[in-house]
Amino acid sequence: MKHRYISFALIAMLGLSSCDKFLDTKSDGQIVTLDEFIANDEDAKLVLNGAYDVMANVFDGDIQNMAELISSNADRPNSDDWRAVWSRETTFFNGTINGIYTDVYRIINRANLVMEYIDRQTETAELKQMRAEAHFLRGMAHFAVLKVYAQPWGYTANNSHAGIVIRDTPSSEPKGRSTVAECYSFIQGDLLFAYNNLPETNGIYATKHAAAATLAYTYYMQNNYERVVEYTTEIINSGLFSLAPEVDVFYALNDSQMVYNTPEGIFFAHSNADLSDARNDGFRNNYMPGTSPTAFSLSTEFLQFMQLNAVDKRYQNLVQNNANTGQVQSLRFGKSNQNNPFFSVPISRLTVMMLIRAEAYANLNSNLDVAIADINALRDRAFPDTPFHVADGTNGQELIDIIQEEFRKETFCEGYWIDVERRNGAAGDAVLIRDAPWNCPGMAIQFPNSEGTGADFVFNPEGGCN
Amino acid sequence: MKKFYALVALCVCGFWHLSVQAQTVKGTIKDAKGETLPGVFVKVVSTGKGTASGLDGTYSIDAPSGAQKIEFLLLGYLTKTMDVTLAAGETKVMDVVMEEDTKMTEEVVVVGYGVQRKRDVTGSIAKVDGKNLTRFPTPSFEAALQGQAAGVQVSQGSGLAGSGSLVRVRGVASISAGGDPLYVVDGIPITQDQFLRGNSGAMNTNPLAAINPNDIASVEILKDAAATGIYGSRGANGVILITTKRGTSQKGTTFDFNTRFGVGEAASRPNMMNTEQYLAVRQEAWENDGGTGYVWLPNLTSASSDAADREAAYKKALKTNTDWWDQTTGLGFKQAYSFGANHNNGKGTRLYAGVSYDENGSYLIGNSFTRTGLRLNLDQEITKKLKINFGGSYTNAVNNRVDAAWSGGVGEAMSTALPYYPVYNPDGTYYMWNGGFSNPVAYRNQRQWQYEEDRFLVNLGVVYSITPDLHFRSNIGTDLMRGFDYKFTPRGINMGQVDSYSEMGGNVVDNGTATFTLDYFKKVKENHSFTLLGGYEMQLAHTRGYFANYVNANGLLNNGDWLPFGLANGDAIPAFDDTQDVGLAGGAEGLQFGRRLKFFSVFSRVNYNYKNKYFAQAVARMDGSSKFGANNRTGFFPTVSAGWIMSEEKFLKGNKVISFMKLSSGVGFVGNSDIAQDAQYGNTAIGGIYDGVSSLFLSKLPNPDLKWERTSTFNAALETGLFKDRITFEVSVYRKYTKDALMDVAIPSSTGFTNQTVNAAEILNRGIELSITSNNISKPNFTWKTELNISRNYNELVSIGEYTPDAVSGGTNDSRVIVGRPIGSFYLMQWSHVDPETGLPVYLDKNGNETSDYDNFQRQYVGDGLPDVSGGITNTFIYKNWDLQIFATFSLGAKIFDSSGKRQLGVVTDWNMRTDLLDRWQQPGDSDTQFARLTLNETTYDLPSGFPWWNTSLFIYDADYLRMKNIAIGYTFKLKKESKISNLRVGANVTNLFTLTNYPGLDPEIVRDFENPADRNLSPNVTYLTPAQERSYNISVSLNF
Repeated sequence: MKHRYISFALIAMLGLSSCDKFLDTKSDGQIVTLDEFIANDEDAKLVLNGAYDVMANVFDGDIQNMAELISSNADRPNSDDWRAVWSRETTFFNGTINGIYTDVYRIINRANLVMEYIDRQTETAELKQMRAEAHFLRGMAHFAVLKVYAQPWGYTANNSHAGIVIRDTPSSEPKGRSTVAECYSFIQGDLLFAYNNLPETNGIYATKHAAAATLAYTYYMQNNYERVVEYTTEIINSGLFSLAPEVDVFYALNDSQMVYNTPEGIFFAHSNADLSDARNDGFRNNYMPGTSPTAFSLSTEFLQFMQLNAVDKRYQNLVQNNANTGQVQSLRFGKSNQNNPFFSVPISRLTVMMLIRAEAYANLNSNLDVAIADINALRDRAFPDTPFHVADGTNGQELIDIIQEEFRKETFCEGYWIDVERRNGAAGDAVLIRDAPWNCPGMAIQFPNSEGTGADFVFNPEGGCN
Repeated sequence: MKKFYALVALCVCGFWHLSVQAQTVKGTIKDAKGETLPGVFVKVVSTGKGTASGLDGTYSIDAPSGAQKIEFLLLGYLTKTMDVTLAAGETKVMDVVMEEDTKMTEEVVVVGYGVQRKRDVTGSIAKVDGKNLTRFPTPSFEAALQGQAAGVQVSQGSGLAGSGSLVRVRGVASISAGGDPLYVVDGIPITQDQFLRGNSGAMNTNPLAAINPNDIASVEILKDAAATGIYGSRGANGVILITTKRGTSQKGTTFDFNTRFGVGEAASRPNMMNTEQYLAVRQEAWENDGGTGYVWLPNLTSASSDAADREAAYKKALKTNTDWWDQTTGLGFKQAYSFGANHNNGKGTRLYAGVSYDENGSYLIGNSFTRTGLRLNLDQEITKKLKINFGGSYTNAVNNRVDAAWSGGVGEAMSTALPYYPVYNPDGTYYMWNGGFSNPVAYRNQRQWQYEEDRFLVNLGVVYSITPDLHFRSNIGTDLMRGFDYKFTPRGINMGQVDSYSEMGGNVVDNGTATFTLDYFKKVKENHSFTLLGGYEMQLAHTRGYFANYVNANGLLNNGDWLPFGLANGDAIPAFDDTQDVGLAGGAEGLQFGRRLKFFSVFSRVNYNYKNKYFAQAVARMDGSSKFGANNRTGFFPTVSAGWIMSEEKFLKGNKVISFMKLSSGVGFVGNSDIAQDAQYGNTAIGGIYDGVSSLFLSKLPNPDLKWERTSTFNAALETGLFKDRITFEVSVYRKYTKDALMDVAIPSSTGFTNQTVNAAEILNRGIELSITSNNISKPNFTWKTELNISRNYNELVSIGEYTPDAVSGGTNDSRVIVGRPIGSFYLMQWSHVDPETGLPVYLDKNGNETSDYDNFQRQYVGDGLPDVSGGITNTFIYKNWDLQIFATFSLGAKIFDSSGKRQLGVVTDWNMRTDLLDRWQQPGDSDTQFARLTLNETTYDLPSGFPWWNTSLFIYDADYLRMKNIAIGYTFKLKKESKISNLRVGANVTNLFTLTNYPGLDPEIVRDFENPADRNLSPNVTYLTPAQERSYNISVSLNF
């Protein structure tokens, strides 16, 4: 009997001893809990760099295209997923735009992971700057999503309409949408922190001015003109940025270099020719003319708008009515693959700062001379042979209209124009965007299906724009 | 049988007639039921002299005077010793009742870590004899379990050679974890992952196909917790125990040889349109959409072509009419041979050796599965106390592959291969479409594609009898699997692929299990006995995957399998646990990954037997698994059960109608953790390089709380034998409630991640099962036996926590997790009817209101793929030397989602259509048409522009069927006694002769290719260009000598 009991006991002991160690099959690169992910400051730097990396992938034109295709500027794209954006009838099964949405939130997730790591550390100057960069990336990423996935500021009187999901921790929990007012407040909080804690220069990474530029644009969307003036003026006066010499802002036709970082760029999705690393595919792959029709093209209405002044270099150099493909094509990102294939995409740039400051001054009815001077500077670039200046003394709506026309001519294909159309609609104008009201339901892109898998998530209503 | 023993004993012992003595003992010998027993050997212990009872059960024996012991012996009965005291010259009458030795006569079943008499078993176990697995050709052995056991639902795979079946034991109780039962071969849980190779070529590589059905002696299917509890965290979906053949218990050497030849064809063919029909339909759609002139035609013209070009193309197209089904299907040839040798030297050595070859060509041209197997099983008694047993098998399986379903081949024949496309251009080159990527004949003829698997299953067992009642057993076994898929596409096969390329995808799984047990039998007094079992088990598995892709290769990579990984042939395969990109020379890309599983258990089982009438069992198992999260390392799974043989009670004993009756019941907890080996871990990954600086990111979130699914089970069964067991039946009822069911949920994209595995769902299965075996006629020259099993299962997804139906989807199959509905529910827009005035579709929203809006938010439950009732019926007739077996399976209450129907019967696109579509609306007033007005434009049906995927319940059909699975006829030759041949049978059979069903598509029994285990659970009965099963005609010869 005795040996029997001993045997059973031995078996039991064998089973219970050092169980955890035996069962651990974790290999390199695997983690058990979230806080194992970033082990030290070096890891944190790599994760932050990863946030920049994804940022440069989606701001290479992808997220901008989403905004542009809703607008009046765009003609019918040739792929199904993008056509759904253009026709304002996106569904939650749209794989292409769902992928872009996910990528933008990957920026946010990585920024949050970095911040969460820093929260656990004694903050050094280096960590403090990393935190500020993380805030910047998180804020600008949220803002990019907000602009296309929600109806704009002013859609409701108190902006209590649904915005987007705010992610301020690296959590996997489902969350509902915050209101647009809450989203603006959160985004501006992030950008303000970044603005207050970032240096003036920081290589290819986020700076005080990058934060200021995005911040200024958020205020522009809110019609908060004082703030627009405040932040744009600081950038314009910094002396760090100058207008690109030609209307070909993204590339330099006469530059034999592969790389081009426009001098007016405040913050870039940065390409590196030495590493054959182009972060401009979203633009180049969709707009670059070739023998086949381009994926994206411009609307006939836009062509007619540009043809109103046939000597405008922005028309002459950057718009091509291609009889072979039957398309109005944009040359903003190069006439051929030979044109600076490794140009960096300026996510914020001086021209836009000048335009929104001008409009802010016009709306405030102050410093109109500065506004007009800024517009004239841009016109000097567009009309190098025959000066075409805004008449002194122009003011009020007439000046605003002029500024917005310049805005459209300067920024087409970059995803800015829809903002102006929506702002005007929210201000009370009867704006139709390719025959659809500025605030019809489908103007807000549909969220991915996964967004609603775990919470009482309110999707955007679909369609209703035809 | 017992009567037979008795007669033999009578003959043997009849000469023992002793001369008259002075003292005599006499009487009648009866069994427990009161029947007289002839041929009982009666012996006086003191003298050793004996006699036998006569045909009427009476005996008479002389014995010395004084106290004597008289012994009564009969095979099949417990030996009885009676005391008697005889005075000189006395004659005493002593009637005797002999008890059956149930140990000898009762069927024994394998129960996991041991065997039990079937009558003692308190859990629910179905046994299938190995012979039933080789009655007719199936793609893989598990398909032959179909219709064999109540509560075991088997849907056979498609017509692809080697394809797997869907096996569900008492419903499906899992969502994202594997819902298949655990397969154990001779005590070793084997590798059974259907997704080692994803669904490449629209087929899940089936690891069970390499198991040789000729090796199998029996299959036991453990169904309830009392039976599967001993498998703890792996028992919730049932356990299938496979026992291979062992050497005979009779001394001597015998051989058996079996062979089979056959041909297979498609059990049904699709009703695809011919050119004339397709062009007419297309023209009508064009005109409905406002087009004028001739319609444009894919691959010839476009919508913007001018009218003359369109007309010329149309007229040219009319001149070609290719039947692509005929181009891709034909007859598949089959041949199988198996040879077995059985040896017992009578001195403790038993041997079984078998060799087999099975070539199974499918009806898909170019597709076959060939399995070559060797087996050696040896049992050796070293000493009286020490025995060893060895089992070893090697199988080589070669699958000559072709594309199917969405991947091409016969799938293309039912989709993008339009009838006006010729096979060849006038110059003899292949006519290609889809940008040069499509033509199933071109691909089949030029591409080389083969999957080859080598598999070793080896186990070594030791039994040491410490005392006659205390045994130590060990069983150490391994399952080594090497499966490699080689595909070579030569240069110039099409316009789309300029360069040749050669791909290799390989999986190596080393899987080992060691089990150590002690079992102890203790009888306490006359009526109580206990069997105790305690054990320890450890399993280690290492799975590795290798993928390489060479551009500009010259052929298949199988001459240098390992070269892509920096190794020469014959080098040891490297061990690694993580995923690595492999830098390869020559423009090749490579990837390798490794995953480990560690698993240990302690378990115990106690059986109690009172008077061979009352039985109780308690089982407890504790499992630790590397799959479980750090916060849940071990799980505990207890079960208890009891049985009562009511027919042993006085009130039933001797009952002329009820010959056997047993009631059993059990409750307990079992688990399931069939998820990816590294599901609990978060993954850190190297990200992109930004401006020369590398980056790091988290590609997957960790879940340290991850654990097993926990299923509580109740089972009650009543087994009854009537009229001396001429009719037997078993009724079982069960309830399984699963908590913490694993869900690989799609988490909001705003988290920055896509998926996470969580324990979130609750699932109910409850059902009733009935099995009947009836010996309808038992005459010497004619017998007729009917075996019927039928099961009813109710399945309900009770909860998915806070998640919504879209949190888990069955791949592209539109099946979702819907609370209150079964797992396997289809989530689509509800179809209503065609508007007779406009010809446009009318849908129903969630509130049942008619609407013309196709709105994804209005998707709802429109049916499910789970049958309410399924089963099988076998009728066996034996007339003299002839035998006839008719085997049918049936399924009622399930729906089929014809996911390809939405393209074959929807918007007119570049897919060929089915002739069902001709029942369409054509003009105002057309009512009751099945299909809407034809259109080339998906927006006509309110589908989003560019998405002709018409996901409506229009393509949900009843899947009820009765299938004549097999009809077999055989003749067994009468052989002379002196013949060296002991048995010779020739037979013929036909499988899937016909199927009674209202389903208009190809085959109502569907197992398509799945994307992952969740898809496998959620999408039964979804077809997407899935090849129908085959109908085969076979002849066979069996020989024993």
